[in-house]
Amino acid sequence: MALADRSGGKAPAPVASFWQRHKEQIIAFLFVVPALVYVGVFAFYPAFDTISLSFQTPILAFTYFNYQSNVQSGLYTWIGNTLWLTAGALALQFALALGIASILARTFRGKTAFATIMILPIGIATVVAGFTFQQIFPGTGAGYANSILANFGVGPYYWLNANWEALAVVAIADSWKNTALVVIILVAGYATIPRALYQAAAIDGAGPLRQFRYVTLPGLRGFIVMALLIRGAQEVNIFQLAYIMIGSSPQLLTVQVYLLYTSGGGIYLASAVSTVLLGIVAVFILLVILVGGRR
Amino acid sequence: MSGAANPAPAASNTTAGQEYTRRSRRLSAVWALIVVVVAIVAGLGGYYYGHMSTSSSTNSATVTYYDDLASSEATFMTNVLIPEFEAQHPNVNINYVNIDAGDMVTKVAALVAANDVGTTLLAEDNLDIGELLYATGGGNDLMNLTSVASAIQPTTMIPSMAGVTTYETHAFGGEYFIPFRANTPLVWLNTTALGNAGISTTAGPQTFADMYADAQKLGSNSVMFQGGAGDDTATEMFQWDVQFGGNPMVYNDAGDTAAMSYLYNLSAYMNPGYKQAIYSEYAGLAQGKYQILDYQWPYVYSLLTGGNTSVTPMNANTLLVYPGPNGTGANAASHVIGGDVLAIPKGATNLWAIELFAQYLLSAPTQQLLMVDTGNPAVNSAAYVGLPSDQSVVDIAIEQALENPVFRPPVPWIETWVSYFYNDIFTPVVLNGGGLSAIAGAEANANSQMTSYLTANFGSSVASEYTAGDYGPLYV
Amino acid sequence: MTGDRPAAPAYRKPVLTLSNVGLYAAIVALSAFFLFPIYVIFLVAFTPTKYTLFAGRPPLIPPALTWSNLQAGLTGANSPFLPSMYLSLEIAFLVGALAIAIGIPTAYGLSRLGSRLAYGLTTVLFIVNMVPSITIAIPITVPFIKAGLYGSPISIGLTQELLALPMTVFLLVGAFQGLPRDLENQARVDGAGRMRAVYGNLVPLIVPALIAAFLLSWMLSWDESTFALILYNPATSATLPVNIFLAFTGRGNPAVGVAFSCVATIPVIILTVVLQRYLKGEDLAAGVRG
Repeated sequence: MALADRSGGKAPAPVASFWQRHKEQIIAFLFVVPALVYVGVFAFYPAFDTISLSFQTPILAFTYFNYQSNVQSGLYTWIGNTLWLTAGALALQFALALGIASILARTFRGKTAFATIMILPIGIATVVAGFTFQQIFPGTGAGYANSILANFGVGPYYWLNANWEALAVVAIADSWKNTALVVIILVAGYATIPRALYQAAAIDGAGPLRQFRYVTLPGLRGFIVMALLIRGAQEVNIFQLAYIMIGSSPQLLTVQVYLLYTSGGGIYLASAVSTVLLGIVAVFILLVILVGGRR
Repeated sequence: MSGAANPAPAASNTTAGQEYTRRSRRLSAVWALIVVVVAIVAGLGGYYYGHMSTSSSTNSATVTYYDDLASSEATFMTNVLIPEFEAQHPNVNINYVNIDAGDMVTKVAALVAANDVGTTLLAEDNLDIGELLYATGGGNDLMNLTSVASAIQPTTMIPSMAGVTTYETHAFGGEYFIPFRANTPLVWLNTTALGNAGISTTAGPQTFADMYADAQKLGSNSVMFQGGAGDDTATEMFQWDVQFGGNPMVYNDAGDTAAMSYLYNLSAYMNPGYKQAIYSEYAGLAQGKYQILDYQWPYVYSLLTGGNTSVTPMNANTLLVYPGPNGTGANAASHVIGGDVLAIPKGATNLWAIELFAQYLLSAPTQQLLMVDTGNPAVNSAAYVGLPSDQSVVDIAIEQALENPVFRPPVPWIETWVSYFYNDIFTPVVLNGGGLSAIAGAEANANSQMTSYLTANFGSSVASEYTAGDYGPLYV
Repeated sequence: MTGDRPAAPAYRKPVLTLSNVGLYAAIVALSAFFLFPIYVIFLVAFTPTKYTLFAGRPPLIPPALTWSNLQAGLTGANSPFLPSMYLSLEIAFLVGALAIAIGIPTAYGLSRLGSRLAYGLTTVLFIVNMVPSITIAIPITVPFIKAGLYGSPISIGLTQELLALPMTVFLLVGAFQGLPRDLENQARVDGAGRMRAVYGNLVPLIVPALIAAFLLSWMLSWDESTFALILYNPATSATLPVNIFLAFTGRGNPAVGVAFSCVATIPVIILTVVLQRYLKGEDLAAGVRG
């Protein structure tokens, strides 16, 4: 918008001030400030507190003892268990979710019923889900899964015997509860893929699998990244579900934080494991953002 | 939603105005509804919250009572003992809180730190009482009870418990806790299965070697062991270490190594559920999932024989209970005594009410009720007078076990000891299958870790005492 | 997404390799997978425990039904059910209300900011969502205790809000961006101040998203158990999920846990079905595209 030149050839009109130029942006930012303050006080401050606690003991102001001690107790194994569980659960969820989302992309009779059934587990409390799956997959050879197997004459299976078996069962339980979340995100993604692309692919002679690989997956890329971010971080934080089902064998990071914290005097050891947990989540976020690329 | 997002363009100000009014009314209605609901719920919640806080006038009080009972025992406390006490003392109310022993330490420490203790009585597991006694960083979360002990504590304590209180005065310069319930683990056998395997069922296996031989005859999945959590596993191994002639606190002497090797060998015959088994694992014995339950606390007797566990409960002909196999050496028959002790957190108010309830809990009639109904041996010897003449197998077993009591030392770092035992030794050797060759390294690791922990948290003098073996099982 | 009609006669919907029979077989299998654990919840709640918790081979068809588990768990002496329920309700409504209260201005601001700044701030909010709850819960108990808020719904609600806020902002930003840009300017031109323009003109148009955000935050709080576990004061009461957790892992009564599970599940199943109406693709896609 040009200013009318009334200067009559004298000095040019003064430039608008910083405030005037950026007024809209500054006000918009002010609207966001309360949330930022809240987050700073309730998330970042305690996180830094945990990190600082992890380097202390009651009589030492700064020490690596808590980390050394946890390493000697098997910290690397706990990290390994947590990562394996995360990877397994994510793989299962995403495989299921991609399948379900592509089913939901079509129309068929009973679609609403199926969508409702699929979304029900979101509403089940995590602790309830934990207990239920513990009844389905217990360690002593009882449980509902064994009852089903018994109908086929197959003997009782000890679901929690080997470490990988216990983690696999927890991954199944977690996927049961959280696949719907991934489905919701992927379904939103499906909506953004233009039908014309499928049309073009079909004309080029691409069958359904090739269409999936060259049209669907790239189109969903941003949504898959988002879902990986959200679910991956939540997966690393898995706690009650795993603790109810498998207790502390094998050990996961969150369970160990809780056990150390509730044993008197263990807050420093617990904070060290907690910081490691935080570090893993941070690395995970960075990786996904870098590999997934910006939206 | 799409429809609402695309309103008719504001062609004229009046249409937009009407639209605006209608929508703002709808929004106001929604806001009003949310606010009203929140207010109602907050109000009701506040009523409840305030209603439940302890009142403290001079004549009536509410005692908040913390205990860590198994659910059947908690039901007994709630349905029998507390109503009886409240009937005897109408001006005292009991607010009973069932809470895990480790949790109790954390929560009580928090309350003491916040000066918010109120009228509180604790019945803490005698494993963890040391953590409250020496709160981390010095200080003490418990009230010195020496002056009120005469009012609360019966003069007729059984010898081992009287010994505990004498020890306290000697070690801490005063009484800080009073034994309340004694508890001792027992070994439970399915005699039908044992008989079918050709094993004598008049008595349980008398030595650890006998038990191993029996397990071999019974085959795989025949033994259950509490391998699921630090406290439970470490307590069982505490007793085994002592019975094999070792000092469990140092992790790595000859007796400890012998006990650990035995455990690893026996694990080949354990039902895999042992990896998650804690004090609540017992039903499998009645269901035939395993045949030797080593060990479990007496409270499961009524549950195994009562009809909740599978369609046919066990009875005197199918269930054998006894203190367990003996080890070698001077402490071959030692049995760990668990149970709860009463304590009062620092800063508690309305002591008169707390003392009344504590006195009730320790009195002979109450102790006898506890013994008969929950299987916990009474600490008050007067409670043994006038018992019903037919003793159950459990009572006989407990009596035998109590003849050789050993206690876990009430040190403040006991839970760290538990944690290192479970993570450094039990997990690599047994859970992860490291085997006999891994034992020495694991034990050395645990010992060095404990020393470092004590150095970093309590100072080098305590660490030196530990290395010198000054801390060991407590005999009174 | 749904109800797409063919754009041209030559167009055919993408067909997977499965025939219709295969499609329905997959749907049935998946439905069974999702429904079976819910069936187990009600089985355990309404069957005597000797056929469920204590059975060596629990029957899949209940031999008998009973109310006694619910009775013992909900109305038994010293059952913490009512105070627990009130606490959970209180906190859930608080979290939902806070989510809306903080979410509206935040989402409005983000929708008006330049895209780079908005992206950065949204990333900050999402990162917050990913900080492990247990990492935050442990150190935050101390300031709450000092402020006299130990175990109070305010402290638990404020911490749980951390989990609800990012999702709420995500939904509402998408909703705000779906509105015509002119609306606000129109209202301002008509003489309304900014606040009135936002709260009077824009917010009424995103009420469905507000409801969805409120319901999601409510359910999230109802389900949340880590903060509630670390922050509860045992002398007063704990939330329903914490009591369920303690019933199954601590010295609690599994029958009580079963009863609470049943009660805690029913409202959220209803809410989830209601919520499904609002969670259609467009709302979420809007937030992602922005």
